Amino acid sequence: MGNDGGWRHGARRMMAVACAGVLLLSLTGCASTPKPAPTSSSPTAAPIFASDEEALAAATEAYANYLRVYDSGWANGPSHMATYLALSTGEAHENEVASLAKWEADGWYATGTTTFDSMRLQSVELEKGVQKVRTYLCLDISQGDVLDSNGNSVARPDRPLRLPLEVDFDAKSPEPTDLRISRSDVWSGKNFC
Amino acid sequence: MVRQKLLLGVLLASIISLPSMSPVAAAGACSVSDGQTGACQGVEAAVGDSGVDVSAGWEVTTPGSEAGGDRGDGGFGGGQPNGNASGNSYGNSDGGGGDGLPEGVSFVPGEDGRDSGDAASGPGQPTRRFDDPVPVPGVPADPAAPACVPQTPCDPALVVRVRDLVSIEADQPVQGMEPNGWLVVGIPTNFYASAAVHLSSGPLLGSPAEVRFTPVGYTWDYGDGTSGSSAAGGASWAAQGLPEFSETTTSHVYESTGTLTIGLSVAYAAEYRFAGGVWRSVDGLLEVPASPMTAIADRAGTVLVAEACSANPGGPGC
Repeated sequence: MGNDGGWRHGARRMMAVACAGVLLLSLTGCASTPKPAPTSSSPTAAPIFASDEEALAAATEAYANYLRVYDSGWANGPSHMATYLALSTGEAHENEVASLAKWEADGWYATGTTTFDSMRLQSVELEKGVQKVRTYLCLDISQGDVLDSNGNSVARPDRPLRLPLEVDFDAKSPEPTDLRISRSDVWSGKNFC
Repeated sequence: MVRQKLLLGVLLASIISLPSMSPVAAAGACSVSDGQTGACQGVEAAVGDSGVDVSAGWEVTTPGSEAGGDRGDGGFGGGQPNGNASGNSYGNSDGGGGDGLPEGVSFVPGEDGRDSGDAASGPGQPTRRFDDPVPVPGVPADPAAPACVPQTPCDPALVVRVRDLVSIEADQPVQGMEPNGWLVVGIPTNFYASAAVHLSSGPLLGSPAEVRFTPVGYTWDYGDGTSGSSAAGGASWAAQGLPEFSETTTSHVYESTGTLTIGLSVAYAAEYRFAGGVWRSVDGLLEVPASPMTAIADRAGTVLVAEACSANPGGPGC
C-alpha cells in the first residue's frame, strides 16, 4: 500500500489529461467521441416531447389513468379488464395478461383502489424508433385487496404495500392517451418508497 | 449417517416442492395485479442501508486498488454502457432536487456543471437522450452543453473494474464437507460449496446499478498445506448418487491427522447495468471467501478397536 499515493496521483494526472482531451474534442465538434450504439434508432426520428417536464407530465397522467381503469375495471367485473389491458404493451402487457388469466381461472378479483406517487423521470429517449419514457414510482396497494370467489383475501399478508417500481412507457405522441406501459419491474435496489 | 441422509432427503424434497407453491411473478416483473397479491419479488425492506458498505475486503485485482479509490484510470476503448448512447447527451432538467435517492447515493448538491449526461441515473436524476442528431429547439448542442465526464455512466467507453464495486457485494458462499466436521485419513473427504448466480444492487460510480455475480471458480485451502481448484462447486455424495467416501471432482485425501481449518474462496465474474440497461461485464474477478470450517482428521479404526493402541500396540487396527 506504500506506493498507492504515487500510483493514484499518476492516475489522476492521466485522468486530467484525458478530460482535457475530451473537452477539446467536444469544443472542436469532433464527432468521434460517442459512437451511436448499434441498437440506436433511425436518425430521422424526431423526439416526441419538447421537454422532460412534458414527458413526466404525460407519464403521470397516463399512469393515473392506468390505475383508474384498473380499479374501475374490477368494480365492473373481470370482463371489463380488456380496457385496462389495452393500456399496456410488450413485456408488461404479457405479464399482466398472464396474471389476470390466472386470476380469472381462480375466480380472484381486486377490490379497493390503487394509487401511486413519487413518480420521477429516469430518462426520455428514442430506442429503436420508439420514444421511451422511463420512470420510477411508488405503487401503493394498501387501499386494496385481492379476494377469491368466497370473498376471502388471497393476497399474501406480508406483501409490501408500497412497491418501488421502474415503469417504462412507449409514447406514440405527447398525448397521455398515447402512452402505453411497456415495462413494470420492481426496483431491486434500495426501496425508495 | 442414516439420520443425515434422512434429513438430506427431507431437505431435497422440500426444495423440489418449492416451485409448485403459489405463483410468483417472473424475476423483477411486477404488474399492478402481481403487486396486489404480493407476487412481486425483490422488494427490499423499506428501511436499512443496503449499499454504502466499504467492506470489500476480498478483491484480488490489480495493485493500488483501494476501496472507493481511483476509478479514473484509462479505459477509453470499450463498449457502450447503455446500448443507446448517442451524440446528444444533455439534461438534468432539475438536477438539484435529489431527495429520496433510492440508493442513498449522495449526489453533490449544485453539481449541475459536472455532468448532466448520466446515461442511466437513478430516481431524481432525470436524463434526456435522443438518438436524433437534430437538437431539440432551444437546446443547442454546442460546446457549452456539458460533456460527459469520462468514467461516469454516460461514458460510452466506461470500464468498470472489480475494485469499483465498493458498495455492491456478492453474497458470501457457504461451504460444506462430508463427513461433516471430521474426516478419515487416507479416504476421500468430499467438499462442496453453495454459490449461485445472483443479483445485487447499490451505487456504482455514483449511480444506482445492478450487478450480477456468476461463480466461475472455487479454490479450497484444505488446511493441510495443500489447496485445490475446481470450476464447479461440487455436491454431496448423495446428490451425485455416489456411495459415501467416493472420490469426487472436489474431494481431497488427507495424509495425516490433526485439526484442520478449511477455507474456500469463490471467484465471481460480475456484470453490471444501470437502470435496466444492457448488461456489461466488469473487468476482473471478485474473490469471496466462505466462512472457514474446522474438522478433525483421524484414522479410521481408532474408535473401533477394543483398547487404545498405546495399551495394546499389537491390537487390530493399530
